[in-house]
Amino acid sequence: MTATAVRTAVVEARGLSKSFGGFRAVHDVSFELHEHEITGLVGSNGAGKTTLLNLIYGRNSITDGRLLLDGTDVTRQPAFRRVRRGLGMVFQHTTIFPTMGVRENLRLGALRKHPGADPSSPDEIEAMLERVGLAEQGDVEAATLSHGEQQWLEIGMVLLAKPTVVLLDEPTSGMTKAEAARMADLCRTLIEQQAVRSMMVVEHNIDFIRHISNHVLVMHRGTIIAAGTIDEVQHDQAVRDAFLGRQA
Amino acid sequence: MAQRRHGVRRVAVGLTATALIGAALTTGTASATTPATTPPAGSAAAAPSGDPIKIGVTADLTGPFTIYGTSMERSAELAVDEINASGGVLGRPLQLVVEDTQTDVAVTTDKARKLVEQDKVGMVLGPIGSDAADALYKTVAQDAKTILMYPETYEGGKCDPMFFSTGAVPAQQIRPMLPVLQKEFGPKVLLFGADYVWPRRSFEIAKPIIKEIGGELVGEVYLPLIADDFTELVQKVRDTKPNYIYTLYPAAWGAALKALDDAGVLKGVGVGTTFLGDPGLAGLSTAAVGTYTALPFFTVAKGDGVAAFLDAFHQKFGANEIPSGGESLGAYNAIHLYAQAVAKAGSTDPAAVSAAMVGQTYTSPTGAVTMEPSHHLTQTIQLVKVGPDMKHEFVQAFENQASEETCTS
Amino acid sequence: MARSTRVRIAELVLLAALIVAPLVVHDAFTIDRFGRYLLYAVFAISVDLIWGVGGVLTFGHAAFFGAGGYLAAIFMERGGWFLPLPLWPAIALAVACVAMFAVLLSGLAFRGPFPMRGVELAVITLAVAYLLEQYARAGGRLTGGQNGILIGPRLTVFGINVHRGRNFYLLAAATLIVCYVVARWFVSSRAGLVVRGIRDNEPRVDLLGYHVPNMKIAVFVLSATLAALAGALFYVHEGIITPGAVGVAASTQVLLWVALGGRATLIGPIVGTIVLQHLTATLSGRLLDTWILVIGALLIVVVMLFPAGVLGWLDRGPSR
Repeated sequence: MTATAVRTAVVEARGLSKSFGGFRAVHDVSFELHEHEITGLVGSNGAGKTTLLNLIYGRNSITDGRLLLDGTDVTRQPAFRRVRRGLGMVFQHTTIFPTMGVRENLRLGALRKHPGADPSSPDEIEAMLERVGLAEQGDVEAATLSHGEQQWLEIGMVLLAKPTVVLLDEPTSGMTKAEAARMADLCRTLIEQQAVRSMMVVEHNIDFIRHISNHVLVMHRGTIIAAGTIDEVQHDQAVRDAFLGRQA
Repeated sequence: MAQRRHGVRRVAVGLTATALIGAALTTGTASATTPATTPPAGSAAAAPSGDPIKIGVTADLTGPFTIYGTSMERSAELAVDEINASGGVLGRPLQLVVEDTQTDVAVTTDKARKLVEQDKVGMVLGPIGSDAADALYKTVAQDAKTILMYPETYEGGKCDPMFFSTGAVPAQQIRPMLPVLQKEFGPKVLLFGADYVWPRRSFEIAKPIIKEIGGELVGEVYLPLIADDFTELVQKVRDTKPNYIYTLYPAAWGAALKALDDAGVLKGVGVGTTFLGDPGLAGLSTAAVGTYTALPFFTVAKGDGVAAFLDAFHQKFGANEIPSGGESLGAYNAIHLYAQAVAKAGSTDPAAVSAAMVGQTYTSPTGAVTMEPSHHLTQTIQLVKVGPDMKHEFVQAFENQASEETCTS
Repeated sequence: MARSTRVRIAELVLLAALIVAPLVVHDAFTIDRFGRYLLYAVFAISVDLIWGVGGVLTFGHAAFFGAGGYLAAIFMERGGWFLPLPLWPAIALAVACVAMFAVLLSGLAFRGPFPMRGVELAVITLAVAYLLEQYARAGGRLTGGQNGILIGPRLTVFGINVHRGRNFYLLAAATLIVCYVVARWFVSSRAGLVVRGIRDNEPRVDLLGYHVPNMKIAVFVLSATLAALAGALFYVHEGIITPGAVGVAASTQVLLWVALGGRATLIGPIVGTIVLQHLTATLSGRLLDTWILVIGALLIVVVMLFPAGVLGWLDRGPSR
């Protein structure tokens, strides 16, 4: 995962901006998510991380700029079309199907065929149950799962859709240290086994980021003020200014 | 503990529900009769014996027409009590089988079929609404060939050997009322009705009568059954300057009257109706004072038997209970006429009773009535006028008003 | 017992009851009346599809049930152009017209410039029923206005009279079974799974790449079509159709049957319809003054104790 190889951009953002009324929540943000790479997105509360995620997966419309997914312009496409192009979204506040069974949740994830991928088979659903640690609870109503289990279920559901790029919003929030370690493991495995071509993780937990990624973007007041390895950005003057409150 | 109590409660409720459902299901096929139809104790005449003669009543006991349906059903009870107290018919008692129609056409049809096919009633009395009446006209009279007696004021025109009307029909209300209005207000009349068959047919009947009495028809307005905009009506009154308005706008007259009054176009303009019974006055503004109405019955109606009829009603149902109007007298008359026809026919065979019904006369509380060959009723029509206290005041009774219906079945 | 087993048993019991009923009930009127309930039950299933399974609350579904009846009546009773039509072509065309109308309406509601959901949609369905009722009242010669349309033709199948009594019951039972199987097939299909997902969590379904509006349109149209078929048969059997048929009151009544029986269970609404209809029909003759209180109390008690409906309790267990 170094700059030696020719790096293919799975997601490419060019000058993304979003204004709510007069408020510029995201301003002129450009970055690339590369193949075989997990990108961390960090920043303080209100920096615009969530809005940026919303722009990428299509919840909010893009005011200005362009977004490319595998080289295709998806700037004006609704969320479900971006998903069909290979985007997978995992939320901090889990979004599962509470009155349906755990296995049914996974089936819903597996039904939709992605371009270039076979739809997940029943065997793959069973394997995923195993992988997210819910093998014993396949017929249980999803609402009865613990919060942590629901997070795993959501990840399983999204992965069964065989996305090419997965966005995770604060995946370790509410998790114990052990669970967070398992999550880091999973992320690394997915990239190493090339089950997922690229990932972006929004996270407060810098240790977690350090475990899974050596490329981070730092957001502040709606713009990206630094990009690079964790060590690089931690020593970046702009980052230090921003976080210590000494605005240049 | 809470969980357990919850479980017990659920079981208890389940049992109750099961019992209720079970009761309804197991007894569903038995005939449902109102207990009120047993003859009053200590009646003078010999109690009738033998199989009761069943009369079905499709009564709007719940829903929008509750007040009329209830009164209709009670009036039928009074007539049945009287007949049974004086020995019944052919030595047999009359028995009412009452079903609630919920003021719903589909339910009315279902209940009527139940009365005919399951209870095997000799006659069906009811309902109130003209849409439900259309349904029973087909279901009871035409399809089931069972006698249907319709006690409500309606547009007329129904014609079937098994159908009999005991309510008023347009000509017998309009013919006596319009001259009174013309004399008081002048010759120019505007017709205003809801856009359906009752007003439309009534106005067609009114037109030649207006011409005959030397009146002048200046306009005709139809609005939806319950309109929310009366601009067209107000404008028409402004433009045509009628001396009086003859209106048949039963479902929302209060709103129409208010619109006319607010627009200030009612000054010096009289109003005549053929639908405004005693209950209809509730909720009207004082602009209604002076409005004339022609119908077969009001509590202020004049007639030798009116006081006794009202007394009997109060006694049986309570001092504050009053018959709602035409449909009450119509139901009361229908039971008496049916009893006489059965007595004359010597059986409850529908064809025989139908033949015997024509020509039956009987002295109703408001005067003599005769069943015409048209299967409609020659009867007394009462003309009343709304007084300053917002109650009907008696004006005049017109005896022996023919229906002018021309059905020959 | 697993919930699927319980539902299967409930299905078998109901099917057996449907088949046995005409053998044990000999009274032609009562069996005819049960036939009516069964067509109402199809109506209830159609509402359960859109409300119970799809999570879209509708206050106007009688618009489709009644429109099926009105159009069939118009096609049979009015003249001119290609009219009048015989019985089955009239019914088929009526159902097709309602389906087309449902496509347009749901297309506008779900894919229009202002996609609707939740309360907005409930208000729209309410408005549609209200407008149709008003139109039926004011429709002049076409709809017969306040007094509606008398329907002359009687129900026949291959020349056999199935208009009343046992034969009508069999027609209604066959219709119910076919519609139930179609509804059950839909719910267990991939599309049904997605529609249930939409009820549970619409944004997530979107983010799994499904076209949510199209799925909603699919369930809406299927629901309206079943309702129209049941309505056409129902009102031909009635022999008359009046404006109340497409109105708001009829639309809310069916919600009670579905809620009582158990939303999203398909079989619950059938049971709810038959029980409530029969209780109303028999109690209203027996307890003239109090029946409405008894039914009201029963409804409140059932809804309080079984929020998921009686069959929902069976389906999901007492915890819900």
